[in-house]
Amino acid sequence: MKFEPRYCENNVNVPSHNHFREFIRLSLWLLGIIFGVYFVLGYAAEKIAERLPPKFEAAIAAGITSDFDHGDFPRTNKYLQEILDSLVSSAEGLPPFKYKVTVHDQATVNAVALPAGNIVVFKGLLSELKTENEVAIILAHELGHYAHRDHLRGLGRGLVLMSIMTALGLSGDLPAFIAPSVQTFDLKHSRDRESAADRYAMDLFARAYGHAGGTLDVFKVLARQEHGIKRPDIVSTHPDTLWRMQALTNYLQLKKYPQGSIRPLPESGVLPFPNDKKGKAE
Amino acid sequence: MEDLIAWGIWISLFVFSYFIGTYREKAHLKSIVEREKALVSLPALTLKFAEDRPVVKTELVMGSVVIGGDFFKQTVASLASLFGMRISVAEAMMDRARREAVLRMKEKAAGADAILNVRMEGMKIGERNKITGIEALACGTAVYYSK
Repeated sequence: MKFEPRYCENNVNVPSHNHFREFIRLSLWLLGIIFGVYFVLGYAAEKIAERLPPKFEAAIAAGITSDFDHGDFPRTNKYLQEILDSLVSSAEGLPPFKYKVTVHDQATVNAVALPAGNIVVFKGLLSELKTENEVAIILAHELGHYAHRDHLRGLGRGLVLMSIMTALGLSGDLPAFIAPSVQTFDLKHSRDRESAADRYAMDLFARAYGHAGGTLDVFKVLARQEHGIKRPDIVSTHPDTLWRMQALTNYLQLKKYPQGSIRPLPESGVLPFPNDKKGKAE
Repeated sequence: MEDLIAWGIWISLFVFSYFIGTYREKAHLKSIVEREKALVSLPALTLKFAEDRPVVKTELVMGSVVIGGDFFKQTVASLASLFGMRISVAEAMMDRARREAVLRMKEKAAGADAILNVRMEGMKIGERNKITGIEALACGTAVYYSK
């Protein structure tokens, strides 16, 4: 047997050294599959959520809202509850829940609509409000979410999103990169829902108070808050506040709601009421 | 904002590691090809007995190499493993490692007439589903025939 040295230039074991093209191809596959699953399951979850009976919703709510059972400011809470009750009595299209507002001692400038009619308003937002009109429009906005069943849709989509992230987390080490892109995609949905809730709030306020005076001021509060930590529109859940104010101004002109009186806050004119802390006031 | 920073770090690491990794791979392949051509006359065979000639000396020769899997390659590999596709980045890495190991073995056996009974092994270094690096090992028996 004779050994003949021969060098083979062609490498059959490595078909391609173009790893970047490989990466692009795989990423497109992954994104396609994720968005496909997300849209199909997300749509299904939304449809299910919309048809969820109120009794079932109350059962789900028990788990979520137990943290927010007791307000931190009893007298302020009572005042907000009165406004909420009067809004609910003139509202249309609300699911039959016992609507309840809770004030939570947290600096967040926000309010949330939890399942089964539990609205939570954070102290951070409350201390920025100057008139009853502003308080009412915030509460009406949250009622708008209930009327459109947004709070459940959010839960349904959130659940699907979480499942996808978990699946990705189990099979590779990518979620840190992929998760934000899926979420950003969902914000468009979320923004449309916020705008719809805004319009609902305007209608409800006009029905309850007979005018739409002082309602835009609350968006000025939000605009002040956002100043300085302004994020690009695409990564924000609530539509850009100035854009929101403009849209609502147009909406008010379209609906021809009259301007009316601005009601001041009771007592010293600040929220939460001074000397109103759980345990002290009762 | 935190998201943006995390993205920024991730993407810059990814791009950086892609360019460095590609550069290193090209340079390594170039050196492999040159050395393979230089050592092509020394046969490395899997046969146990090649020639019917008296043998004066035999010795065990070994070559091993560890190549790190960079961030880019790890990411692409985990993407490919999601779909059960060929992991071409790992193919290229393993190929480099095996060829380098054989070359080192041949360099160790300088002056021998042949390397017989060659075995090769490859293994992964790293945690559960991470490829920190791969090791390739080639070993065989260097044979010196009587002149």
